[in-house]
Amino acid sequence: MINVTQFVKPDSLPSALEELNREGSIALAGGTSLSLSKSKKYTKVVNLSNLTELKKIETKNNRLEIGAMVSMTQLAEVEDSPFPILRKTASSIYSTAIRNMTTVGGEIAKGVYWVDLPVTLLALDTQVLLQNSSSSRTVALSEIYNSHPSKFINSNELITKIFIPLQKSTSSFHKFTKTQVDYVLASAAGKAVKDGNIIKQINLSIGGVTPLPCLLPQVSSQLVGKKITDEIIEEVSTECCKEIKFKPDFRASTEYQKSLIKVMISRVLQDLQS
Amino acid sequence: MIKVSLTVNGKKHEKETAPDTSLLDFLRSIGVKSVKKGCGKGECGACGVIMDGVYCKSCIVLAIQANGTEIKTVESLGNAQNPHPLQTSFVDEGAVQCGYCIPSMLLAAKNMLDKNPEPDEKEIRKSLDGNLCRCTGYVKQIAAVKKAAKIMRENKNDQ
Repeated sequence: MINVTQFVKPDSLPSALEELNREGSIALAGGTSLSLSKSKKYTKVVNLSNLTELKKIETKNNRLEIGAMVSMTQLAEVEDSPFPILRKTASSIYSTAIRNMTTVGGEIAKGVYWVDLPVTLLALDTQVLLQNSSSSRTVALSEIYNSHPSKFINSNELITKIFIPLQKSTSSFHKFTKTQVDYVLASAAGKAVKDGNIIKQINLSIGGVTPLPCLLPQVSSQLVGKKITDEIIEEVSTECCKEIKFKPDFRASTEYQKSLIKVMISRVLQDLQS
Repeated sequence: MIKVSLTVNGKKHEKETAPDTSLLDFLRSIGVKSVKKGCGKGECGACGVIMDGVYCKSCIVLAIQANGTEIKTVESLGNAQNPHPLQTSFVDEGAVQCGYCIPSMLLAAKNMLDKNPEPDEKEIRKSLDGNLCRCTGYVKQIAAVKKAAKIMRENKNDQ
């Protein structure tokens, strides 16, 4: 940040994208990560706080559209949300002061192991709109996270919106931290589309124990066509650990991480049972 | 160096600063010493301020990001002669010991009470999350916020 000589605050998305098209530019959303950056490669900061078009939450084209500048507080306060787990996840993140500042786009772009919102967004089949000054592309969040946001998103691109398909489903999110404001040790989310008690489609995702939050496609596919029973919960929560490449964590041994994930996945499946 | 111009408790300030200066360091450099530096990375909550109506941690806001904004610190609440009900309640309940976390904690409580004048205990606890206090154990601070909320509601009804 020390080499920054220009600080701009555009009033429209096209001018923000134009500013980001120049080398050495970096977008500032809530600023909670960038303010601590020691990087010397940036010469210009593009503050997005005037872009009111990115602060909206709307239902359009049978999907929920959330602007990238929506704060966690805003997301946590949505009344009648089609996805109560978005409220639950957003209100569980960090502390009030940080929830007031940190944004949906920032949470996705951070690309660190301890983010919570992407865990829920992965389970909800979220698509991400990436725009630069001349083009745009919509990609699955899982695609970005299979790579890494810093590699997948080009330096002149900006996350502007996310889309969550609206469909009749049950969803759940659980996390474990030592205190309310601590970095997550383990988290899990799930979304199930059911026909009666039988699962037609299900996504399970986890966070905290891998370098980035990720989906669990193998165990999820094993659940399709089945009814969630206590035996299935026991089986899946144990089985899922085989699919996870646990990262080293000085706060928790792999055995402890496995125990936590088992509990988180069990809780999610219990919620999806009802 | 980049010029930063902002208003603190109604008074305008302008100063050139390095681009990576935090709002916290900027405020302290212009003499606003009630904003405390603890961890410097958004964890302890001692540096809370209200920026354009939003309670935030000033150590993870860039000074230049706050350019053109209205900052409120604990001095905006009241003073020894005319204290805010939150300040009176914190004293009455014995919720202040060393005092380092208190300016920010008062602002966190004020920010919550402005939106929610009748909070339950869970909401009070949630509003103070991320404001670490190493002396009191939080019980008295929660009681103080409850008491202040009641006084503020009564004052409003009297008006």
